[in-house]
Amino acid sequence: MSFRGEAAIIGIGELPTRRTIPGMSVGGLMAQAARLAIEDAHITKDDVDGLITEGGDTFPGFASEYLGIRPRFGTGSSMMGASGATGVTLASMAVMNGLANYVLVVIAQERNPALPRGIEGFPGPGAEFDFPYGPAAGANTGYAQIYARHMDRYGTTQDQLAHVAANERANAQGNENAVFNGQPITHDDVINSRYVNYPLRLLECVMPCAGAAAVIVTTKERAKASLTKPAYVLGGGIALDDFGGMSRPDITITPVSRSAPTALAMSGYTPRDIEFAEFYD
Amino acid sequence: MTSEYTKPVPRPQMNPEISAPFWAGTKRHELWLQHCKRCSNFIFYPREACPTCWGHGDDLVWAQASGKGRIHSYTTVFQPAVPTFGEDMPMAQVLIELDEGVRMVGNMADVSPEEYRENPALLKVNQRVEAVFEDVTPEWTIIKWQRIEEEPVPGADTAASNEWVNDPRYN
Repeated sequence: MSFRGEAAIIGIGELPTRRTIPGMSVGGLMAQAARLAIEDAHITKDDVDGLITEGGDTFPGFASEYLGIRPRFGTGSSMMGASGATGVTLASMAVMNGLANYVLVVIAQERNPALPRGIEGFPGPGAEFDFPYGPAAGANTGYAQIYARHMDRYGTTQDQLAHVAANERANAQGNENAVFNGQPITHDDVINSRYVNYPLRLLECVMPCAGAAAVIVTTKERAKASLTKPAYVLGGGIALDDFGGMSRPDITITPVSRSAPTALAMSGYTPRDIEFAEFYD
Repeated sequence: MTSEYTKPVPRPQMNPEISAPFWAGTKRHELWLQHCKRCSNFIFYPREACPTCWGHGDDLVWAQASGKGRIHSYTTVFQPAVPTFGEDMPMAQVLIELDEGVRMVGNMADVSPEEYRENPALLKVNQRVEAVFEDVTPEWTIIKWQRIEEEPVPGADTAASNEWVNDPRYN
């Protein structure tokens, strides 16, 4: 059983990603991206009968209310950075199985004003067992630990990994929506930037941003009849283990080691066939 | 110890009753872990169900741990997210794998900021460590770690073989 070729993306909407987008709430960002997506798909708001949001402050009930839609299918993907890919996977399953005809997958994040760093009110076990040891700059602590172990286990060097940040920045120069468009950096700039979380340097760190993106996912039949050039979904996979690296056998082996093979097997392709890859956690 | 401790103390908020034996142990300068009688695995952080076999209730008991482990990984933090840690920067946030098989976040007790500044990479993955106890307030004692001169136990690294990593199609 597979949804290979059963679903397609027929429209996208993307707002420029910026450090902050003053005057815009998360609802407004979501609505702007949704509007761009339905226009790109040549459908109307009333055609949208499925909704997937990230959860959190755009949980599905809030999102459908703000957007003024009453979809017959909806859920939150709630997978943090993996919410977009998870949303498209869930949307493909939904349209293939008749739960909806046009699913809007929309992810939005505001940052107005920039949220204070801190730990007050953070739920879960962290406040009891982690925060006394000094939570460092957000996600960078976990990534730095993965990085340090990767260096130990595979001999990966800081020089090699600095190319990742430098290449991403080079790509940003060709994309007006990128937050660092117009601010090129070199490999040397990365290597010479200060440490935030050894082995992570400043120019390698993730940082909070504001923005929104949306896609419309529909059935292959509707995609064929649409006025746009569909992008068929050939495979998807969703995997989990833990949030803090506490139970993962090795923190360098993340759940994508299981979600990617599911998606690739469904597609019938192998990594050697892939010409464009974008990784996020 | 200074009169006022300004860093975060543990804030039990999931289920203080369940984790109380852990903190009672640290006050005695002992490391106690939950243990599941049903599957013989240790559990951390303390919880109401065993994450290995979903044992619960009487299946879960407390046992004193060896207090020894290894550094699964670490990061040397130069920029604090909580301002009161500023005076300690740089400092390492370590992920410790105890010999009992569970992991804990922690700090090192035996490395100074000057040493980290001189060599941010001075800690090593798989370095053997043991727990030490720091009475940070009259109410709270937290665990820190210090390096010990011991060879890593052969084969004890829990890094599991992974089908994907070992599959020639993906390499």
